[in-house]
Amino acid sequence: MTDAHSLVLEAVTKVFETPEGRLVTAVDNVSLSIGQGEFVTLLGPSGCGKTTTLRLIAGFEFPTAGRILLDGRDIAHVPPDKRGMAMVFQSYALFPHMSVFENIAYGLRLRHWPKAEIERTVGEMMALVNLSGLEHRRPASLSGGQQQRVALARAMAVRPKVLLFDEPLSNLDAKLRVALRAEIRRLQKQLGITSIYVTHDQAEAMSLSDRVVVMNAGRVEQASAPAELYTRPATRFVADFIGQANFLDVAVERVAGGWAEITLWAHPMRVPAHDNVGPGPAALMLRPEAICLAGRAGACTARFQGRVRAVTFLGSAVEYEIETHGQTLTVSDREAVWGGIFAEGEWVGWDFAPERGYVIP
Amino acid sequence: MQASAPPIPIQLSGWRRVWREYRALTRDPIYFIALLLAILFIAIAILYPLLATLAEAISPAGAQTLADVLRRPVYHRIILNTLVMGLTVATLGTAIGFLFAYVQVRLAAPAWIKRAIHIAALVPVVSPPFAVAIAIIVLFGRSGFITSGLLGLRTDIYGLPGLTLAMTLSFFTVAYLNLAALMRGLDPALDEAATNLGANKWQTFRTVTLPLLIPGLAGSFLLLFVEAIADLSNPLVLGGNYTVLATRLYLAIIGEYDITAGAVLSVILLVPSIVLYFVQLRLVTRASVVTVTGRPTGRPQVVTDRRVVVPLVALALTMVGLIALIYLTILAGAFTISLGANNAFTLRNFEFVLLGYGAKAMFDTTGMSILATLCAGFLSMVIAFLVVRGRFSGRNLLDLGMMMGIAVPGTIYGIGYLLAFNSPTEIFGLAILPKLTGGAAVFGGALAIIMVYVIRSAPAGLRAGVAALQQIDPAIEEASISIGADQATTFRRVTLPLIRPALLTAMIYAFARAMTTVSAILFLTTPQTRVMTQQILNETEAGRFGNAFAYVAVLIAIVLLAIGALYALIGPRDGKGAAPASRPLTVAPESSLAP
Repeated sequence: MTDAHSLVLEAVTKVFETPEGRLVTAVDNVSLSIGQGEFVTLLGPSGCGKTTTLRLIAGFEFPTAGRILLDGRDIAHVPPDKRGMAMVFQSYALFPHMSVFENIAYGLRLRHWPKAEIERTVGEMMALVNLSGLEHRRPASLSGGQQQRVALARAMAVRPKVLLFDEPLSNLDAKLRVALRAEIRRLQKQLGITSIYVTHDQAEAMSLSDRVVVMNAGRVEQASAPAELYTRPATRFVADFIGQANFLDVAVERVAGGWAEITLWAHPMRVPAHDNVGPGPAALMLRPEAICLAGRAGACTARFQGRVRAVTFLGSAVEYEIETHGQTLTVSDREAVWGGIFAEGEWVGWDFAPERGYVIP
Repeated sequence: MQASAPPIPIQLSGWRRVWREYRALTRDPIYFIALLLAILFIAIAILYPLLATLAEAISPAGAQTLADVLRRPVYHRIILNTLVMGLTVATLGTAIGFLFAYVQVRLAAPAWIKRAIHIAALVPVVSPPFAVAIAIIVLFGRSGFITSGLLGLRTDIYGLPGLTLAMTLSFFTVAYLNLAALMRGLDPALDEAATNLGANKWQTFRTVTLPLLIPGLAGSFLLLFVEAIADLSNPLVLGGNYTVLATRLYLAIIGEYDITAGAVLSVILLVPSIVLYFVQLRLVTRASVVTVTGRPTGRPQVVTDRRVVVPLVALALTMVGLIALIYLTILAGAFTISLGANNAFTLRNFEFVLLGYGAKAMFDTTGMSILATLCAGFLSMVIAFLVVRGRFSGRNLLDLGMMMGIAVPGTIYGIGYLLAFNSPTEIFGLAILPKLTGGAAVFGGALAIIMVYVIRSAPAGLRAGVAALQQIDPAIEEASISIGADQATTFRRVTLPLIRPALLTAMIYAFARAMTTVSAILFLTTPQTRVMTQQILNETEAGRFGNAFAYVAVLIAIVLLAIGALYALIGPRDGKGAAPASRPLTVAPESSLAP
């Protein structure tokens, strides 16, 4: 990983002007530091600025303000073809008039590599993405998954300093998406190329990345490792966007060492809390699987009572809507599949381990 | 959590933003130079002659002439004539175009009939506009082969009847092509929905199909109107005493050497032409955008009712027969001494054209057309690229400027070039162009003629290029740039191969257009540079129809040969070429799973 590269975004802002003359801030003061060989995913709903951020890094757009540093050198206004990056597109963007071989060799020919060297590298790349033997096919005769692997090989062949992915798996069906994302991760680790990946699919982001950057309305909400993002979301938006979350209104009495003393429906308890939480009203986040139901295997007390309002059978788990203290909680019950399903209207006791909750502002 | 500062107020003034955009373009020198050249070409070859005409028209002498024109009844008569002719031709041409398109797309008719209709509709594109007019004189004139010879009538085809017939048959092709494309693009699900709700075929046609075609019909009508009032060649040959603006204008310049009057009349012709041209362009473009949404969902319903099919097909075939008769007359006339009077076979006409006096015209015209084709093809693709992919303010002006070349009647460009380029062109005392027209012009005036050929034909190529580029996923070009190709390399290695079908269309059109142009070059030919279309006109005016027909036959043969050559050079190569333009070039999602 000695020749891996680092990328830093410093207060990058991009303002577009709509045809009607209105100004839209697509990327708003985004700062981000991506280490050598790191795999970072930009995740967010559509219109959150993640694709614009990627295109700013690629050079297809130029920032209105801020700096983009590649190995410490500001490249914010360097044309895209001079940045030494490579992009993999959602639509694959293979050259339809060239064979698979010519597609992968394209970037190498631009760099005037010797013919033998090109043939060797293309062969290696084809083997790497498991496409050997398809050199002379046209892109149109390949399946979607094969096309995207050609696109991947084409991008990696030029040994880019940074590999950029713009929702590369969105056009593929679910099974293929899972298979290909494992392959992308394997190749990236093997080659150690610094990579930035844009997606709106949280499962994809979580499974691929060293670090996930959640964006909303042009700003960075949180940049953390996947597990931390899930268990320690910084904002309500992140908690809501990543997986499912229940929010309960609580009063915080005291905060110390990352723990908050709170009272939930007259029950005092100590729960992990975000740094920004102080005394006063806050929200307790509970993941559906952090809640246990009384009467199941394992010790779960019936500290709280609720009534089942809706039952959804999902296969690996049963999801209940439980009405409790005037609020509705989503609860995921993995035991129900074999241990019996509660009926609508039934009263259930429930509880949670305090360390599985998280208090956010 | 990242500290999120309040949004930075970044409000650039308009001009500063434009300045920034253009400064950004200079980062890619070849791209920037291409843009500069495009702007320069449009400014010099298209806008400058137009402005020269306008300037002449609003000069004191011009104002005097304008007052004269507006006062004198003879001019009222001419303007009325022009309008009547334009409306008649537009109505009939749109009707025939609609008939052909409807039979082609919506009727259950044998394939050979549809093929015959299609070919008959396309023939006028490759022949000079007044070829039909000459044949009509020979067939239906005072001593016409049919009217006088067969029927013994003493009819007068000159004037409005002859003009209407000749122009309708020469111009309806564009209405046919527009309407057929629109009809094919209509979503069959709409018909199915109407039928499903209980409408019969006639009700469906009246309440669904026809309303959706109205923009296309209106667009075709306007385009034909503009073409008719701008045409000079047919009125010259067939007008007789029926004077229209174009012929009056011609007379002012060629007969009276009054270029000011020419400029004034030009402006009168110019204003409605430009306005109506852009209105129709908008109508047709919008109609096709609105209705062509994605893949057709059902099978188009064809009309099988014999009470509808038989009369419509019969009517269409009658028109096909008339067109065939006209072109057979041209062919026959080329091989006879004097069709109607002396029907003996001869090769003298072809000798005159191929080996005698006409040979120089043939080689000059072909040579100039080849040069114009190369320029127009390349220029239209580059400008299409700048217009569709460019990200700088004013790129729509580039498009608009280019389209002026065809929106403005050709005759006016003839006058504009005379006014603009009869002396060397200077900017701030710096000579940038030598004298291009008239006596002692460079290359015997050939440069001006080639420029006119290019500006008249590049707009069609531009539209083809724009349509093709809009079908190509921009990510394909970005992919090329992202792995290190600059704009010029990307254009050459990726974009151009992908829009090759559009380039082919552009070049075929450019060549056919150049070879058949009349109105715009009548004022620009010099004794050193002979142009076939003008020679045809001369022979016709001198009554030597045999020579004229031979010229027309040779001209059509050259155009057909060139089309074949262009297909061979840049046409689709079996299996290895670019995908056909009709298929979107973006790679289809999962649906295209390989075997």
